Amino acid sequence: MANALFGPAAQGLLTGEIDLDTAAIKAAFVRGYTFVATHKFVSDVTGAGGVLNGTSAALTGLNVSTAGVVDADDTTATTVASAANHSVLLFQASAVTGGADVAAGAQRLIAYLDSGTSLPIQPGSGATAINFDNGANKIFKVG
Amino acid sequence: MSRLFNGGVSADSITFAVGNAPPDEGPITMAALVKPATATNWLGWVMAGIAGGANIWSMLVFNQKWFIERDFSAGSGPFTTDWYWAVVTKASGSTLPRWHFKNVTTGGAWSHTDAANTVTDGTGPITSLRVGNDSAGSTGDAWHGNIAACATWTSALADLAVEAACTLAASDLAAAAPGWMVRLNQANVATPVTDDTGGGGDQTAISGTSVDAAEPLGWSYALATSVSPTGFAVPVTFGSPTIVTPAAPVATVHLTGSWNGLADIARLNAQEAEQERRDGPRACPDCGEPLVRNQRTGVLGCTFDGWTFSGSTPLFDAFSL
Repeated sequence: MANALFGPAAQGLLTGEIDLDTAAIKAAFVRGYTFVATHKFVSDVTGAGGVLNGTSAALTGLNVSTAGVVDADDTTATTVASAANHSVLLFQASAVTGGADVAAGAQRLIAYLDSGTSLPIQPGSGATAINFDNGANKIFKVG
Repeated sequence: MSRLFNGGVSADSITFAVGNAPPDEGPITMAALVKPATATNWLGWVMAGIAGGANIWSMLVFNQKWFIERDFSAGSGPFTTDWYWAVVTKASGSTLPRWHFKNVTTGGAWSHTDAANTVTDGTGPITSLRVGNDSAGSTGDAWHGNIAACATWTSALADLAVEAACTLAASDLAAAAPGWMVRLNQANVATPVTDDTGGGGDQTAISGTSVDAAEPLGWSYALATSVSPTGFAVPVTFGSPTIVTPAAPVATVHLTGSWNGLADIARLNAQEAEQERRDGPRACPDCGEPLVRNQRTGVLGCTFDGWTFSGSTPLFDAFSL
């Protein structure tokens, strides 16, 4: 499949339950998961067999342009070597107002990224970089 | 993590489709990241290209020395129970194989040494490829120890190219564009081993083997150390709004100066004329002083200049009768 936004993420962005430039947004490598558009929380992913293998710090430089383009600084996640294919999960780790991470059952899913250079990846042990697209759509673009 | 082959006890092996592996033993490069189980005298194949039930090309250990197929010399190389890269290259025809070794456990330097005897290419093309054993597939021919990765090229890599390909990163091995390459880091032997080149040299059969926690210190199985997700666009789609207009305007106000505005002025003038005709004038036409009706005569007049209204005032007259 192609990179995609979770359905409830669109709802959350429009209703203010997800705030990209206030909340802590993180990226994680995930394996053993098949994208389900209706999934809403990180716990939905793990409940469906997904295993998170390395989560980044809160993304920095997260910016939403007037053209609806979402971008952030490149980041890294510390992974454990695995022969299984991994994709990238983007999620709101904190409450909508920011702060510490909340439970997985309250962490809002945003996007599932399985397409791009070296994706899916069988990561090694150590820091695995996530370099966001520098093209027109950056991470993703609305509209 | 790596795959353990229990040669001498069981006939462990993994068989693969040919993919883009070398058809015969020249030109060829065979590379394997291995850890022998014991530094004793035993016989075991790391890998073999097979056709017609015979080995066409292979890399093996016999009595603590390394050989390739049809090498009847005294053998080559160091032999320890450390993890190390064992690589052999050979040009086409009857030529000397060249051995390349690097101990990755101790971090020693590369050695590059020609074998003592020339070796022929054999008659290919191969029809299958086997890791951990040879065409016979017997317990006595199986590899004793761990294997982390294997690769082959249809060319004889130069010494520096061998060093660049065989590092502590599987990504370097893949970047050297082998014709066939496998990593044995599957967490379960039931997971088939696939050809990392995408050339189709995937696992077709397996006999025994086990997953072992041992792997070379600092070795990374990752084919990449970074990912770059492709940006994507989320389209915004709209419904079609319906605008309902009121049944009739609540009020119409015309702009001054418009034709409708002039019509309004004409209507107002007519109303004022009608009022004056009915009630008489309200102000003196000479000085604008409000007219006062004489209580005795009933005549409208100006108390300032004495002007009097001589016309009739129907409404007043009617009430005066």
